[in-house]
Amino acid sequence: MSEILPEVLIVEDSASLRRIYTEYLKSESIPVDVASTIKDAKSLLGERSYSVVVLDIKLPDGDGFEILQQLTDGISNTSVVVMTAHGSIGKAVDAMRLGAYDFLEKPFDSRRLRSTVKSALALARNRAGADHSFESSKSKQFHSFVGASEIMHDIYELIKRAAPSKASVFITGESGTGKELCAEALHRQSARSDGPFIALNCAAIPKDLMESEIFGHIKGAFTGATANREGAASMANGGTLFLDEIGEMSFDLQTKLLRFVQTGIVQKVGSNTDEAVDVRFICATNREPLEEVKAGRFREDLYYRLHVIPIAMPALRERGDDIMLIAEQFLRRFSREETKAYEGFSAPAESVLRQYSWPGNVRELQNVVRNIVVLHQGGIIDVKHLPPPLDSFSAIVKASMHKTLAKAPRKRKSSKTHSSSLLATCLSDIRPLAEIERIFIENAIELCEGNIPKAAAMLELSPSTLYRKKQSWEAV
Amino acid sequence: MSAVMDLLEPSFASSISKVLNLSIMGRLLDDTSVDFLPSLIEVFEVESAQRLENINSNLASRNLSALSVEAHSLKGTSATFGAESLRLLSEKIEKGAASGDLELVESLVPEIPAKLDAVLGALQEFSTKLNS
Repeated sequence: MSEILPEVLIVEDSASLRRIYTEYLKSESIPVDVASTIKDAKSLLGERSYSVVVLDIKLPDGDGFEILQQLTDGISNTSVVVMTAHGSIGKAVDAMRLGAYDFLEKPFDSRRLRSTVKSALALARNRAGADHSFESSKSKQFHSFVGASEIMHDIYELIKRAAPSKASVFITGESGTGKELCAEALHRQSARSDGPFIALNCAAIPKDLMESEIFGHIKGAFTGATANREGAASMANGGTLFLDEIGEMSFDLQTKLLRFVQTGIVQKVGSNTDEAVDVRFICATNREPLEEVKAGRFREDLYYRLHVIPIAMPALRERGDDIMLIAEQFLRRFSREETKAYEGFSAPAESVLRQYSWPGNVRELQNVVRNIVVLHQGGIIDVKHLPPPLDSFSAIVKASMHKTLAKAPRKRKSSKTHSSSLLATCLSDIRPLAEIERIFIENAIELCEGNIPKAAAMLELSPSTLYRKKQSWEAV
Repeated sequence: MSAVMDLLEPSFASSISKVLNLSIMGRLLDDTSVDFLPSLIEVFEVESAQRLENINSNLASRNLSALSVEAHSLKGTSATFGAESLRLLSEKIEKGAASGDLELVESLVPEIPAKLDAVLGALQEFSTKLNS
C-alpha cells in the first residue's frame, strides 16, 4: 500500500492552532504536514516539495518572509498562503508583493481556510503541469541547490545516501561550485540536523590563529588570550564540523587534526585537559587532494581518514540547462531586492550565458546577474547589458555564429539545393504550420552543425524553446 | 448562533460567555466536532503553560523581543477560542514588549495566570457539558 504524501505544509508555532487547521482540512481529505519553526519548515522543504504552504509570518526563530522568499523564487511551483494577525494588513500586503498567493487574517474559520487552500492547490497543480508529480517539482531544487541536470541529480542522490552516516565526506570542486551548500545539505539531511553546523574557512584565518580557531584556547595561552574561548570543534559537538579549503592548513596543524579525527578528543591551546567531542567531519578543497598528498603538502594518513566519501562538485559549464535555471532564479531574486522589473534574457544573451565557460562558477553567474540588475533599469536583458568579461565573449560567440553560417553552404555542397527544395515543398503544398516550423528549425540546427544555442540565436528564439520543441518531437 | 450552542442552558451560556465568545466557540465546534474539543483543550493547556514559562523567563532575562513573539502567539490562540480578555491582555503585552516598555510588561505579565486559568476552566466546563 502506498502512502499519499501530504501536499500541504502548515507552518504555525501554536500547537493548538496547528491541530485546529489540520482538523479543518481533514474534513476535505487534504492531509497536511506541520512545522512549528522556520528551521523545521526548511528541513521539510529541503526533503521534498509541497503544493501549498500555509505560513505564519511571526515565528519563534524568525520571520516567515524568509520561507516565502525561498518559495517564490520562480523555481518552486508551491503556492504560499500567509497567515497574519488581525490588524496586520501591512504585513499581508508585503507578503502579496513578494509573491504570496493569498493571505488569511486570524482568526479565520474552516470555510475560509478550505476554500483558500483548495484554490491554492489548484494553482500549484496547474503550474506544475497536467502530469504534475512531486518528483518533477522536486527535481529542480534540493536543499539550497538549484539544478535539474543529471549530474546534479547524481550529487543529490549521493548526499541523500551519505547523510545518515557519520563517515567523513571530502568535497572537491572549483571555487563557486557550491561546496559549502553541499556540506550544509549533508548536515540538514542527517540525523544531526538539530545539532550545530560549524563552518571554518581555513584559507580565511591567519595560520597562527588556526589552531585556536579549531580547538579553542584557555586564558593566558598566548599573548592576547584574555579569556577562555571555545573552538569550532567543541562548538560543533553533536553536529557537523565543516573545514573548508582544508588544503590551506599547515602540515603541523594537520597532525593535530589527525589526532582529533582518530580519537574524537580535543585539547584547547594552553590546556592539558582532554575533551571528548562528537562531530561529523566534512572538508572541502578546490585543489586536487591526491596531488597535494604527492607533493607532500597534505598528510597521506589524514587524507585517507577524511577521504571516506568523496563528492566532486561539477563545474557550472558541465551543468547544461542549469545555467539558465540558476540565472533566472538570481534574476528574480535580485529584481525583487532592487525593486526593478526584469522580464528575462533575450535569445542572444541566453546563448552567451550558455556558452561562456564560467571559471568562477555559480558565484560568478550570481555576480553577473547582480551587476546587470543593479546597473540597468529592467525589461529584457540583451547582450549589450552583459558586463565584462561576457561582453567581449559575446563578440566571439557572434563572430563564430556568422562564421558557421557563412561556412555552412560551402561545407555542404547540396545545402543550397536542399534549402530551395525545402522551400519548394512547403510552398507547393498546404502543410500544417507545426510541420513547416519543424522542417525549418531542424534545417537551422543542421546548418549550425547541431549547435542548438547558435541555431536559437539565429532564429531569434531562446535555446530552451528549441530544446523543448526537440523534446516534444522526440516524444511523438 | 451555532446548532451546538442552542443546546446549552441559558444560565450556563451566560456564565461561560464572560470568558469565551460563544459565537466564536460555536463556529469552532461546527467546523470541527464536539469530540474534538477535549483533545484540543489538552493541547492548549500544555502549550499555554509552556508559553507562560517562556514569557516569564524572557521577562527575567529582559529579552523583550522574544517575549513579544510569545505574547503574539498567545494572542492568536486566544482569539481562535474567543477568549477576548486574554487576547486583549496578550496584545497589550506584545505591543509593550515590542516598544521596549519594560515597566508596562512587568505590570501586565502577572495578570496572565489568572486569565489563563479562567479560560482553561471555562473550556473544561464547556467540554464536560457538551460531552455529557
